[in-house]
Amino acid sequence: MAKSDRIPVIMLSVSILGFSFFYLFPFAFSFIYGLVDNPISMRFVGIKNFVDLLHNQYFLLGLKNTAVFMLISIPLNIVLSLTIALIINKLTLYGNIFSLIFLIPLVIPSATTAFFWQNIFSPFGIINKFLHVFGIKGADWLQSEYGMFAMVVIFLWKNIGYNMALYISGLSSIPGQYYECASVEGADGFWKFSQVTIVYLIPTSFLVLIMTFVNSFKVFKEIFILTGEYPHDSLYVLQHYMNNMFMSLNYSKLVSAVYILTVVIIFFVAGMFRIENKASSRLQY
Amino acid sequence: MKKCLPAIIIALALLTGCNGNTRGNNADAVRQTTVKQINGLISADSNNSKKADGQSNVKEYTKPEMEGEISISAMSEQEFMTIAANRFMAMYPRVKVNINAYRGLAKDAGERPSNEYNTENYRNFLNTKIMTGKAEDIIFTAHLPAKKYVDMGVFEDLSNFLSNSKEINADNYFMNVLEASRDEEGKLYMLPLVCSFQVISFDSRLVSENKSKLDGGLKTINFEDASVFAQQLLSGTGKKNAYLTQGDAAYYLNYILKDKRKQFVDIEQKRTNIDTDKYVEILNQVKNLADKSFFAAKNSIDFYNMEYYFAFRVQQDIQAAFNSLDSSTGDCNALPLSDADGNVYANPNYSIGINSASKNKEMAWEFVKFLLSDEIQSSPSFYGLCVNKKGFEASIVRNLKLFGGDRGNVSKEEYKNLLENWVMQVNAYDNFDPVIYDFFAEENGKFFEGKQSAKETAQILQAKVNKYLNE
Repeated sequence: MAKSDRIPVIMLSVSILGFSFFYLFPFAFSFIYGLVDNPISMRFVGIKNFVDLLHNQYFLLGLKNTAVFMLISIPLNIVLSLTIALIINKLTLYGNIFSLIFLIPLVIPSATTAFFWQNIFSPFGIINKFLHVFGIKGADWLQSEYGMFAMVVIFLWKNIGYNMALYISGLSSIPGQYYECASVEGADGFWKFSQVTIVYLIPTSFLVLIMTFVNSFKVFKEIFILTGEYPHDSLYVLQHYMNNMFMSLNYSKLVSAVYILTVVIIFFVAGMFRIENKASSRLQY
Repeated sequence: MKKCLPAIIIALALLTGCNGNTRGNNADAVRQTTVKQINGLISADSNNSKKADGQSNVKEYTKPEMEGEISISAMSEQEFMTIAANRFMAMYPRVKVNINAYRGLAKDAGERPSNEYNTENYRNFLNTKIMTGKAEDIIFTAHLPAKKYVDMGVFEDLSNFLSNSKEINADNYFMNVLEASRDEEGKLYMLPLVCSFQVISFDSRLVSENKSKLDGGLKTINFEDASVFAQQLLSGTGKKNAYLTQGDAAYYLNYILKDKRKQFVDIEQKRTNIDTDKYVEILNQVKNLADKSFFAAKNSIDFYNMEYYFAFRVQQDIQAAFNSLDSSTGDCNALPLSDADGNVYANPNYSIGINSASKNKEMAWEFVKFLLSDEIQSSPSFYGLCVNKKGFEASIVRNLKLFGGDRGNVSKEEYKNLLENWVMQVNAYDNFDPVIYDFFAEENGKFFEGKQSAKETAQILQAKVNKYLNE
């Protein structure tokens, strides 16, 4: 090993050891639970738990809702946070104040916000009162098919600020000469946006995508506080299923679900890395 | 592989937030009470070799060497547990009994748990211990979803232990209560230490002025039949401040549903039938009774300045028996509460099971037998009627004194005979999942608060219970 590599390797090995000890090994060992009927009798059942899970209506419901939620909320979050970042980036006055305002939701604990959201989405909440002014009948938003809408709103409120900060940072790293050069060549605003801004934001966008993907799993916390273990079908996500399996001692189903989800996530993230690598390789600074 | 590694790391990082418990397990909340350890040696009774069975495979049961440690899990420590543990350790000085009570010592039976020490947190805490193989040898089943635990194999089948303990027989015990939890396959996972059940009685002042009378041949009564009779009593009285029951509409509905719960939730078959016209009709009927002032308005009761008449009420066995025999209490026609099929349920709150993963099952069984013994069951620290007949006799004397029987209004013989007759009616064990009860209480409560319609309540409950049973 080259001398210059030693320090990074030593530094990394501590982290890798910790990660392996606390995550990787327990995760690998937990696979045994997926192959037995339950952790008490430990009777070997092969891949029955995995097969059963793929026929379990509530696992499939959680999987479907998680996928739909991600498909709606991740692009929405990226578009909105980029738009806000672009607007704030253009502001010459009060830009920092607006940035701070959008970052406030990040520092408010989930339990505190639950009361706020309850007041918004409850049958006697602000939305229904507002709709009532126009003679429109409201709904119990968290107990109806509109639950997903509430979940998306909560997610956007919580996470736009974070992505916005990443985009502001990305925007500030694009060299100003590119825009000047484009202006000299007679490019309009849309061309500059699509050919300079978007292109040079690809690495940032990839980071935003991964972070939004990670954060999309965390919306469960707010939903759990608001609606408990067994919410309306429209709000039931995979974490509900896994949490409830833990609570009802069904570790076999829990582990099976975790492994199936892991495979899905690995393929998704690996695919994203591949796309990002290809896109970024063409960039020149 | 290089490209996959970040993906694996992200996937793992994500999942670490998914498979955990969202509520704290409050490991620190446990107050482990090591009662005491006395050193010495008592020889094991080697003559006691009877057949016993851990799982389904039958094996010889030999009284174990009484040496080692057994642990007991309970939501809160009861006085009788402490006494039993101390005496057991005195009897077997090389045995140590640990009582791990989640909430510590129950100082007051009516004490309400704080949010931190609620039943849900207790279940989470116990679940974690069970899954990590660190659960206690003996588990008190109160507040636990016993059926789920049985399905998961948490509890040991006690049938063979029981059949090999010849001293536990119908001469000495109320076997109908002791074996009330026996399932269709003949397996017995929980043993009640106390015969506890509910009794319905009627207001004697309203009954005396009413023309129609309750059938004298009845041995039990279900809540709906009692309610029909109680409504007749109300319609036939001109008295002011006369109400159906002392509880509110939600309380009343809870009992109506207990009556018919098998119609709505079949735990065995994991089926629900709540989102039906029948359920909606029941909700609306109870709401209708509330609207017609069959229940006293919230916070309106003023016992100090007004006289009230409650057509019927549900009480615990020992109190109800005394009240029905003491004419000054205003109760009459007391009968054990049954469900719609006539089953009288033993209350599971004083039941115990043995952890199937315990390494000391035989010694745990010896302690269970000790809890069922004349000595412990006759102890004044037991509240309620004991399953042991000598203990039952002692509790009769104790409770009669407690309720003022020494005034001479009620004789010991009539009190004992009445309670004995009632105990003999017990033929079922209430192992209905407390989690499902909580769902009903929560959603029905919202209905009475006007937050959702009867139809919505039925739909929400159907979805919730169905998910809970079939996830």
